[in-house]
Amino acid sequence: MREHTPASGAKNSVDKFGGSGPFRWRHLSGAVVAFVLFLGVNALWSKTDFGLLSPLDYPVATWTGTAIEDFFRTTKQRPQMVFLGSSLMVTPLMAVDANFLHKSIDAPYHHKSLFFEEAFKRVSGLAVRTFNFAIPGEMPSDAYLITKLLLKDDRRPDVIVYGVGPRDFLDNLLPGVKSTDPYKHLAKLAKRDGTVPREAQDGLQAFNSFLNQNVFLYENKTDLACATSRLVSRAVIPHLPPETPQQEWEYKQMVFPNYHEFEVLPTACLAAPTKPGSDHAFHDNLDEYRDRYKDLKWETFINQSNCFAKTLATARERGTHAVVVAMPITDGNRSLIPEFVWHLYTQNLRVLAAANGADFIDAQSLADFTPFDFGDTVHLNAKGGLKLLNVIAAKAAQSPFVSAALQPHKIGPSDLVPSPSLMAGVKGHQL
Amino acid sequence: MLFNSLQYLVFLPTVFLLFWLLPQKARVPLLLVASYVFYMSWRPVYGLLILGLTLGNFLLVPMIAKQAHRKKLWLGITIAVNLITLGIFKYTYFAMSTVKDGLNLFGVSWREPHLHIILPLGISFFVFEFIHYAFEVYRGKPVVTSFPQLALFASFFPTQIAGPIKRYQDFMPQLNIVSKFKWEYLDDGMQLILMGLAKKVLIADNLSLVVQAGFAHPEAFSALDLWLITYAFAFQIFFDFSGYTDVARGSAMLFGYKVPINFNLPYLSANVSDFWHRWHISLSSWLRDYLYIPLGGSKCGKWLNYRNLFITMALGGLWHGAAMHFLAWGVYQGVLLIAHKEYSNLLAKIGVPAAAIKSKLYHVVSVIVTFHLVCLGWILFRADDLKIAGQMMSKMCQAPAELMHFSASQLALLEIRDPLVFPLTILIVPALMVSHAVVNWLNDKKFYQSPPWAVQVGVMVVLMCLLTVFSPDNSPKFIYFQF
Repeated sequence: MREHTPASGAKNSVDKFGGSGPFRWRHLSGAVVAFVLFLGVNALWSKTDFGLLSPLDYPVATWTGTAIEDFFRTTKQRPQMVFLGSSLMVTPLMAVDANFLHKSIDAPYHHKSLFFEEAFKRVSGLAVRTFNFAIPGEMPSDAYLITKLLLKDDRRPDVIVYGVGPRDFLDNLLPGVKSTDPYKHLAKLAKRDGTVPREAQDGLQAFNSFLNQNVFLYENKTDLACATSRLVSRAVIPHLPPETPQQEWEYKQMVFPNYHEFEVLPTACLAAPTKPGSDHAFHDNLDEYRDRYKDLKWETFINQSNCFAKTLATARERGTHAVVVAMPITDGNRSLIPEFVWHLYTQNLRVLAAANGADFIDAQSLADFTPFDFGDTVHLNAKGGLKLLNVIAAKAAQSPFVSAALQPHKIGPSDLVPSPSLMAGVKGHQL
Repeated sequence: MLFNSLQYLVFLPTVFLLFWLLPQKARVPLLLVASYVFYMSWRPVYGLLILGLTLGNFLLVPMIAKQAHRKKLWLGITIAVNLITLGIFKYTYFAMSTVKDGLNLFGVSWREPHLHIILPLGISFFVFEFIHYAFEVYRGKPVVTSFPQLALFASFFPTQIAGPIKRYQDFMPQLNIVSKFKWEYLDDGMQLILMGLAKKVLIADNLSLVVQAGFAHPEAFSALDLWLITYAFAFQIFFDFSGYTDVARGSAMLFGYKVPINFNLPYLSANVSDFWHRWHISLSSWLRDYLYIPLGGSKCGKWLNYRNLFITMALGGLWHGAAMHFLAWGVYQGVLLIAHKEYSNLLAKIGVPAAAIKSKLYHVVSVIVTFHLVCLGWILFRADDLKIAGQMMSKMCQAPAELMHFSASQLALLEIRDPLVFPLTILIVPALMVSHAVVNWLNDKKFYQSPPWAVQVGVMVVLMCLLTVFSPDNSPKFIYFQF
């Protein structure tokens, strides 16, 4: 046997390592020195904020981004009622407003429910300003971050109306709480605030988290890549030909679909007005939900339930009254969920709402929803949305807690007599 | 497991540390286990496939050496076992759809069965390595007597999925050498890995956006756009595959092993024959040694030689993928090689002075022409089918007319503001061509043989920073993974 020397590098080994030059550092391994220097660069960079974006700045326009922008910059006055939830809540709000206003609504840029404001005023006599923080794909973990990090101080609403569906607690297709658009937007604020939702991690995810916590460039790679991109853009764009209509949303979608996750540009999601009886065709999405409900992942269920409870508790601590709405779904979709899971889900909602002093509206049982009220097996269309918003408006108007939250100077806490709760010792209110 | 993934960032250092901590005799078993873990992380059951093929070759190939009077038969059996396996997994659907199309021509309708066959990663590469091994034993080279070593030869994780296609007589001796750790292994290996990842992540992945857009919707782009997109693909596939090869070579280097190079500045080739000496060298030399030469090579008449070239390149095209457009690409390469031979003969016949052919101007023009011929071939290679390739090529023919009435607005590609690579395509593509020339010049100056230590370190630090910041969360797979 002989000593092995790889061909590459072997003939240079004397040059690189065995030289008798005056500097001892020539004998050091370049790779090791480079790695140490790399760590040094990270350590030095972490002492500055060079290249970092502000906490709410995000590289691309997404639904969460437009909502945050609207919430802080465009909306002049504090909203009194804020809607939270996923697309189950977004769809009816947008469809109903499109009919109410008789015009198409650019959903990612429309963050209120004008119809609800009108309906609530009609039944309660109170004028309220609404804001819609319901975002497609929003999970209870996202609702918690929005509530904890944004719905506070001079932007604290009096009431939150939180529409939830079984998917919010059971989604098998969700890789993790950190994979949603709201989380990605709010991650920096969450980290600063110490409110990062807990998540089960496998070995690789744990390694990823380790890198995120210890390697500054890795942690801030989105910011740094975006800052570089913007810098080059500013230099290049003046030299480019003017924009053409081809650059509209459809063209961009065509040439590189799904490039930016969650990106949503103007006119990408239009809610068009419909005439009675001419709602858009029903889309059967049972296969998608079959996958979503495939297994009951306890980790996801417990994690999201905790976030749901913390959302309500946070709101309560701040004097914001919560109204939880169990959103209606079709019988076909309901049949995909095993009986015990459904029971678990509904009981969980009632108990957590009650435990955190929230009003609870079981929309399914309060309005006579038919298959014609749905655009697919879970999303209400304009007709169904009208029923839903009328029910919420009516029930909220009846709630003394909602009235108290909206008119604290007119009704004192002592005027309020709690409804019988579902659990002894907690102040919950079944409306 | 992808080289550009977090898993590999954990896997490689772990195997590296274990390798050098363990005694010599445990290293081959360690690498073997690691290679199977690497392979089975994708689809565990296919570990049995590579194991089964290894066992088959381990049993069959010695028969070639033992039974001298029947060695041709045993060679045939060994090759048949390998090719049938490759055929079942890679070409069954293609064969069925071809039969179906053929029957349709005669008005016969046939519904082919759906067999749920998934192409195992890297099968084309390790099957070719086994065939090479059988051929070499047939030609008198020694048989591998150690099963773990043969198993490691085929499954060695750095080269397992997309080559380079190794030669066993180069690789096996390295396994028997007692080696001690040297910092050179780490330094050279890390440089290659970082450079390879940079080629893939910083260049190829960005160009893939332009390419994907153009090849998916050629109708949305002008002729000039389509030329730019074709150039972009030429560099995408080069940087993607040569990046992969660099990471493979660097990973092997960490263990003190050397695997062959695959590229040598291919776009500086002065003719198509030269191109095939510089592009995917381990495949082209395999095709030469185990297909072209056994067919008769060039030591036969002119027409037989052309036939051999044509068959070799057509099958080489089909090796890349079971689809008509890959076959068309191979046929195109075969035709180009034949045309080049004819052209050389013509120059000799009409007596063009050697000085003219060796002039700088002639060389530059040759490089430009060869590059464009290769690019036209890439359209056949990259297009989803021949229809799209035809659509692109016919539209690209309008480029001269567009150039006559050129305005910046014709380049819709540049008007896509985001991502940034679109508007910069017109700068990036020529820069990559220039980089080829610069690297060639540095090669001439022997810069890479002895770069200053500080430069090596500086480049590594910069690449580490760039890769950390600009590596996307979901980088596309390497192009050659599909073969």
